[in-house]
Amino acid sequence: MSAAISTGAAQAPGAPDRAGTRARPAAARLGLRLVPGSSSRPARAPFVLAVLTLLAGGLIGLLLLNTVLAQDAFRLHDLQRTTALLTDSEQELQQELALAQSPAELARRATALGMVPGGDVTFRRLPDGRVVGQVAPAPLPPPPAPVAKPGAKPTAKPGAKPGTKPTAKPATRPPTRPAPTAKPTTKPTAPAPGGHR
Amino acid sequence: MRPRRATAAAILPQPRPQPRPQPRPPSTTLGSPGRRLTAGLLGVGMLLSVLGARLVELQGLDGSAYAARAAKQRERTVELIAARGAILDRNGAALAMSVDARLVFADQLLIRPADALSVAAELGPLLGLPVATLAPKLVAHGRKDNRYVVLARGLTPSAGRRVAELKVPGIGVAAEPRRLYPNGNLAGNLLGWVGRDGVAHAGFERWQRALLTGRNGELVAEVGHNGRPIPSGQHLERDPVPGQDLQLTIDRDIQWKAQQAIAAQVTATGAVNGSVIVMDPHTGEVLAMATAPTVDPNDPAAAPFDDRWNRPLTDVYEPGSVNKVITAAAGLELNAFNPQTPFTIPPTLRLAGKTFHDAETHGVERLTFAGVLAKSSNIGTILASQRIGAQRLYGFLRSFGFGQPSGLGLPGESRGILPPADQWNGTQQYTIPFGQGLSVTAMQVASVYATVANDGVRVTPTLVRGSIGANGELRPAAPPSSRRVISVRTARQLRDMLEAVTGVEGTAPKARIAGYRVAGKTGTAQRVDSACHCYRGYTASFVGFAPADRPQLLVAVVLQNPVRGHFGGSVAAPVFHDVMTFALETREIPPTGTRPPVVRLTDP
Repeated sequence: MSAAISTGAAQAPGAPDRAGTRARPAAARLGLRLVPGSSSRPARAPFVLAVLTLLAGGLIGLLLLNTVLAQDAFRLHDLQRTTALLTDSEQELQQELALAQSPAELARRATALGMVPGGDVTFRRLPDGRVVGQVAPAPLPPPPAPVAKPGAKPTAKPGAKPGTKPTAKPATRPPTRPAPTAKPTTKPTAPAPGGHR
Repeated sequence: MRPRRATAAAILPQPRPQPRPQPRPPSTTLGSPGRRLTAGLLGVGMLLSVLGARLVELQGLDGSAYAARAAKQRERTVELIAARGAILDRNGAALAMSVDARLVFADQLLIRPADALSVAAELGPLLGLPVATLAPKLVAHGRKDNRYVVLARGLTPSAGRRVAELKVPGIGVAAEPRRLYPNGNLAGNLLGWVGRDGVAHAGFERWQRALLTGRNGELVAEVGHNGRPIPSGQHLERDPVPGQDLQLTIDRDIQWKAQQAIAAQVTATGAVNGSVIVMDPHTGEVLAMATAPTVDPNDPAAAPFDDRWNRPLTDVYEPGSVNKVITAAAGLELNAFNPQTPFTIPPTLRLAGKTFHDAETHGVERLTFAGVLAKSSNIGTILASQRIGAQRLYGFLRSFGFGQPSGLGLPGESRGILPPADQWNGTQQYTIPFGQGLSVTAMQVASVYATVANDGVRVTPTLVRGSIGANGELRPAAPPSSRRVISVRTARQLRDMLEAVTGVEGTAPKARIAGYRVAGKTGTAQRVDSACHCYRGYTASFVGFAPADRPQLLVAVVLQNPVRGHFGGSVAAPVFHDVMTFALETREIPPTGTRPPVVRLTDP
């Protein structure tokens, strides 16, 4: 039908074709032809389409936005759960550590390993190399409960060799200081007794 | 008014004449459009005004209330619990810490009695409880169903999660913060404990609760029906302020050794209880304050009531011979005698209707004052004290800290019993010089010897090193006050005399530590039994410091009513030896390597 319109009316494809079909015989009769109307109404279809597109776009956009937000909320929830789990396990490990490093527990383990508390500490004076105190093996404790450990190394006779491990001190700190042993240390680092703090 | 009525009259009568000219059936009046319109308008107007009024009521008048109700439905307020501060030892090791924990409970209504055994079998390994104890808790026995039976407490969060993952109907898991004391009963007497309701009940937990307890925060969020927060919803968070950590002067290892040694000796001697204090005489810092038997703050209810006290501060006893050091200090300071002043000691001495004698029977002895102290002669001390006088002795007892709190600040501390000199009765003026007739705490005695060890300056004892805030830095406590009690000369003379106590002829050779010079004093006092208000049994004690010529550490040991041996030198001195040896080693204090002075004990 729009093919029938060769005039300016073709610019409005959505215009009613009644006018075109009726105008044709009259125009032919009077030798008139249609001129482009100055006040032609703007085509409605593109506008509606644009509005619909906009609307649909907006809706979809909103939906996407909400989905993303919701997705983030889910992700946040999951991550928070992971954080909580990790915090829990960190705390549990700290708890285990605190329990394991308690002096009573350390003493128990040291005893189980066949260690004994050291006796009196013996010192070696640097200026003259004199040994202060009596060098003696640590007193043997009452027979420790045998720890049945298959494949374990035979436990060294506790306190048999003075100097190897003279003080089975259940301290938590690593023995960074020169152990106050009776064994003459080759390179003594401690200053002379009396000046040492 | 009038014109309006006139117009109304003009308008209203108008329609009336109309029906007259056309007499129609009454039904035709309905067809009158004007009236119909008016009636309709009125009807609609009325309806609309009712709705409008309701609208105003809902939106305007009650609006805020409804909005609040709606908000309440979607708003969730979660209290964010502020973590309680930890209590640390002087090296930063935790003595008390707060951890998350879970409790598992059963709802008997939701568990069928027939399922009880299978549920118990499922839970048992996770809770570490035998089925036999678990199963009866799951069903009501004759009574109404208990909907909240606690099955286990103090589970780790992961253990709680494993229970929750079983999804057994009727078994629930709830969060419950737990105060953990990882070292068991270590320093339980000092730390105190916190109840399940978060209320601190004793010791440091209670004393320092303002510092340790933080301020809870809260989280306000809008949530959907599934409990997840609405993304664009309101979200208000007030962060909790965690409590501060408290750092004590206690050394965990020395405290452990002190506690272990005194507990072993209490058992070995059959004593009622015992206490040990380890302190640094120069700083006043208490490195250990132990008592046995004591309380495990993880389960304070398991300890008998009498064992929940911090005895070194709360229990008073008659000090006995350890008090002689104050008599000696007073005499030396006032130049009433010197260490070499000779005294003739009769076997017994009768004064104020009472006969005094020494621990060991002897004939007439000639001793120097140093010998009187080393051999702990009561008669010699009485004779020496007569050169001082009650009033002046009282002044020294006070300035050494007797009859007043030690200054530690802990609540519940006793000040001991020391009446003013003018209230001393006939015998007290003779007994107080050797330590009977007055009562003191172990801390007070320790402080006296710390004063002697610190060249005569009394440093107020302290247990708190400082607090650690959010920035992780230690804010040190105010330095303790100090005050001179005796001169340096007197303090040194006392140290030399006290060193003779651990010598061959002294009362406490068992306190000697190979390689070190050790000074101290034994105490064997008659003990007041509160049951009969009479003297029954003994209090054995030893207080000493090392190295004697440059004191670094002080250890005080008290045993109440030991039955297998009762002399301070035989019962308390070995504990002193063990604890002091360990403490010297832990604190890395070398011997001075000097020779002890020769102190003449007898007068030729």
